[in-house]
Amino acid sequence: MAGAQSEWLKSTLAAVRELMVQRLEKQPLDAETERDIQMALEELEVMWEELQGQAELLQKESERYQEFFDYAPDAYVVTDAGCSVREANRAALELLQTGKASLLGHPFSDFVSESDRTAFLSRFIGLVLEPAEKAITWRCRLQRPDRTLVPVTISVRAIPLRKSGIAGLCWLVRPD
Amino acid sequence: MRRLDDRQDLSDALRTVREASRSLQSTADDLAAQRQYYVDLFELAPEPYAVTDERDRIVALNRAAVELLGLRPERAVGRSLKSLRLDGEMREMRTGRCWRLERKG
Repeated sequence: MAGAQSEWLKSTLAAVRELMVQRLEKQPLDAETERDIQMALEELEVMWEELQGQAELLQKESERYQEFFDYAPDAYVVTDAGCSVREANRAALELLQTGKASLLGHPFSDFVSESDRTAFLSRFIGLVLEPAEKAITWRCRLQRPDRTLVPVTISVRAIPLRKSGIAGLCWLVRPD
Repeated sequence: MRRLDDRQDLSDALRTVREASRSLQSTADDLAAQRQYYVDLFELAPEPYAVTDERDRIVALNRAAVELLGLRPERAVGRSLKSLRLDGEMREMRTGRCWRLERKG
């Protein structure tokens, strides 16, 4: 949970409570109504604490699994339905000898050798139009930014992309 | 998000609280989707992966690793790779290691 938002929620709740106390002092209500208001505020506080706890747990788990992906011994790249790179783990950056900034948001096909690019794109389009249940594997050559070529075996499968829900692709790249 | 001040009336204050609750719920929903995305990347990876702690004891396995082992995950978690006759290529994590598993021998 973002610290700023969490702090904002806490201070908002405290401000509402304060405001209610002031109103009740100025214009006393009957005991039953006062108790109802107090209970409603307490319920809100409990709900917020629960939600906040839940959000913190989700954040921690998400980071834990993200780390598994990032440190997998094999190179993985995730692209969206337009073949733009959304994520790449450390092994992928090492294999391509590039940094995240040069890879994220760029077409993955830019890192495929020119002679293999047409075949790569036609397979990619086929996968987006008709996602296969099982991973599809083929061999091609990747091209590093210094233009050296790396023969690899690519294995790709469709995945849902977070939030957007749009199908993306997860590419496992093994050097031959 | 709006800030609350003493001049606002009570109904306005409650509206702010409702807004804040919706915002928190929406953050929790986004986090749940994000968690599921990373869980799927690990769980559904085609290679068998295990994550071990600093004492090389298994803390997590993906589905391919569970298939390779032929054991329920709860029977493998806490055991060392050696005791399960496993080996493989690994990468050091911030704490622990991520392994692509292979059967020994």
